[in-house]
Amino acid sequence: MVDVNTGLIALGAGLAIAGSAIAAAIAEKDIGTAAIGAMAEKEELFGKGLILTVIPETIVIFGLVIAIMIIGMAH
Amino acid sequence: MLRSERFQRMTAYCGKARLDAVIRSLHDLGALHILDHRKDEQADIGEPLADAPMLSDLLIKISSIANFLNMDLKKAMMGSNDFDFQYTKDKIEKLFHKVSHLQDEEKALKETKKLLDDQEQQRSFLDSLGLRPESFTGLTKVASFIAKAKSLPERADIEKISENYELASTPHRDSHSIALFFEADKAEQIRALMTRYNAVEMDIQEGLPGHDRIKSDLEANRKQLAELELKRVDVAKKVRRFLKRSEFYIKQELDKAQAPLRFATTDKAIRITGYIPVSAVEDAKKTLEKITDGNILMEFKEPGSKDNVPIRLDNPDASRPFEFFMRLYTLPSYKELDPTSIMFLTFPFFFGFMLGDMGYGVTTMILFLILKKYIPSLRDLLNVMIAASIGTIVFGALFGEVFGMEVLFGYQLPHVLSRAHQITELLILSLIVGAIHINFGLILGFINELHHGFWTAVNEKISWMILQAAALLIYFGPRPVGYALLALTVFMLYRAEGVKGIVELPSIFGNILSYSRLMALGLASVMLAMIINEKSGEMFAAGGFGIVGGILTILIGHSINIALGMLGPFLHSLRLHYVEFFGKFYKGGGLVYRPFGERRS
Repeated sequence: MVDVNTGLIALGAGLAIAGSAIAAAIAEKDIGTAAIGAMAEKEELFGKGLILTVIPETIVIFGLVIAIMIIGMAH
Repeated sequence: MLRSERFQRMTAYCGKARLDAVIRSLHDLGALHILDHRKDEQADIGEPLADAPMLSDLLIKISSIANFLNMDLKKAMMGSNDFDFQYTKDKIEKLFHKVSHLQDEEKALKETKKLLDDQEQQRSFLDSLGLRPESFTGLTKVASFIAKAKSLPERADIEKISENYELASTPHRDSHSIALFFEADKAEQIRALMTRYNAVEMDIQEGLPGHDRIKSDLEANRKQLAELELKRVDVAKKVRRFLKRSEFYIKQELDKAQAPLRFATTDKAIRITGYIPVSAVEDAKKTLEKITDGNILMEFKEPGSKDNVPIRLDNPDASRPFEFFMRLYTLPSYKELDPTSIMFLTFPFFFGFMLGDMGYGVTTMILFLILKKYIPSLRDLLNVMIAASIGTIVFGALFGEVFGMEVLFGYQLPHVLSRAHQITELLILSLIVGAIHINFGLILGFINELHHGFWTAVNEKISWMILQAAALLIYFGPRPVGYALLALTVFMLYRAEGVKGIVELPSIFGNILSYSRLMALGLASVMLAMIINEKSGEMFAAGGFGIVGGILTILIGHSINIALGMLGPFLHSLRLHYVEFFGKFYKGGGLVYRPFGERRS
C-alpha cells in the first residue's frame, strides 16, 4: 500500500496529462475539421492541413513533461 | 545543393514566318518555362497554328473511343515510343468509324431488348387473365379495356352504362389485372368510369407474338449483346497502348499548335518570354540561331528581384527523395535556400531519436523495402522512410534497445543512454538538440535575409540568438550582462519587426521546449514496448494456454506499437521541421517549373 502523499503525486501527474490531452483534443478537432474542409476545395493543402492539425499536440507534450517532473518529486 | 536551379530570363523576337520552326525546336529543347503573354496595347496574343482544330478533334475522338471501350487511359501504358502522325491519324479515323458502328449496333440491340421485355410483360399479363390477343384485336363493334387497378370495379357501376359487357379479373400481387369487353360506342363512358377506379390501361401491342417466340428472340438478343461485348473487349485489348501513345503524342502536337496563344504577337513579329535554366542557355542559343538562319533576336539576363522565377530543385541523388517534403509543403522561392539536403540529415535523426529501437528499425526497414517493390509510385516517400529506419537502428544501438528490451538472453545490451531510466537526461538532450536545430534555422534565415541588407538580417535573425544568450546569463549569471543583452534584443527586434517582434519574444523558448517531444514520443514508445514484454513474460511463466496468449500479446502489441511508432515520429519529426525549423527562415511559395515540351507520362 502506497502512502497518501505518493497517491496525491500520482493524481497530480494524471491531471497534468488529462487536462492537456483534453485541451489538445478540442483544439485538434476544430483544426482538423477546417483542414478537411479546405482539402475538399483544394487537395494540395493536405500537407499544410496535416501539419496545422498536429500543432496543438505540443500541449500534451508539455503536459507529459510536467507529469514526469511531478513524478520526479516522489523519488 | 542548397539552392534551386539557377535560371535566366529569355526574351526572343522573330518574324512570323519562322514561328512554326521556332516552336518546334523550343519544344524539342524542352527547357523553356514560357511566361504567358497577356494582351496589352502593344501586342495581342497569337493565333493557334492551322492544324490545332484537327488535333483537338482527334483528341476528342480518342477519348470517345476510350469511353466506349470502357478504358481508363490514365492507367494505360505507352508500350513503345513509335509515332507516325499520318498513320496514327488514319488509324484513329478508322477506329472511330468502327467504334461508332459498334455503338450504333449496341444501341439497336438495346432497343430491341426493351421492346421484347415489354412484349414479355404484356404476354404474361394476358396469360394471367387467360386471354389470347388474337381473340380481341381487330374487332370493330366490341372494345376492350385491359388494365391494372387497385380495386375491382363494381359491376353495378358498369351496368349503369351498358348491360352488354364481359369482365374478367385476377389478383396480381397487391392489385388486380382486369379485362373488360363492351360495346364500342360506350368506350368514352367506360374509360371515364375506369379513371375513377384509378385503373392504369395496359397498351397491348397488335400482333403480339407468342411466349416461345418472345423467349427465343430474347435469347438471340442476349447472345448478340454478349458477342458485341466480346468484340468490345477484343478491340479494347488491341488498341489500348496505341490509344495511350496517340493521346500522349497528339497532346504534344496540340501543345505546339496552341503555343502562339502564349506569345506576344504583332502584324509581322512575335515575342517569346520565359525562364530557362542556365545550363540550357547555350544550347537554346545555338539551336534557335541555326533553325532561323540567324533571323532571331535573343536576350538572356538575370531574373529581376520581382520576377516569379520557376523552381526546379537541384539535389544530389541521395537527398532527392526528401524533395517530397518540399512539394508537400511549398516549394522554396527563387531567392531562398532549399532545405531538402538539410532535412535529409535531420529528418532521419529526429525520427530515429523518437523511435530509437534496433528491433523496430529492422522491422520497418524490411517492411518499406518490400513495399517499395510493390508500390513504385510511392518510391520517394518509402526511400525517406528507409532512411528514417536507418536512423532508428542507429539510435536503437545508442539506447541499447531491441523491441523494448535492454537485456537480451541474459546479456545486458551496451548503451550510451537508457531512455527508460534516464528520463531527465533524455529531456535535457532533447532540448539541446532543439536549441541547435533552431539556431541553425536562424543562421539559414540570416543568409536568406542578407539580400535585404546586412543589418536588417542581423536585427531579424541574430537578435533571437542574443536573446537565448541573455536568458542563459540571467539564469546562470552574471545577471546584469544578461539584462543588458535582453534590452539589446528588444531594441533590435523592435527595429526589425516593430511591436509584433517584442510580443513574440517568448516564442523562441516555446519553440525549443517543443523539442521535448523527442523525449516524450520516445518514452511513450519504450514504455509501451516494455509493458508488452512484461505482460507476455507473465503469460509465458504461467505455461499452457498462457504461452499462446503470450505469443499473441507480443505479436499484436508490437505490431500496434510499430504502427504508432511510424505515424507519431513521422508526423512530429515533420512538424518540428515545418513549424519550428522552417519558421526561422522559410517562406516558400515557389512556382513549379513546367518547361514547354516537358515529357510527362
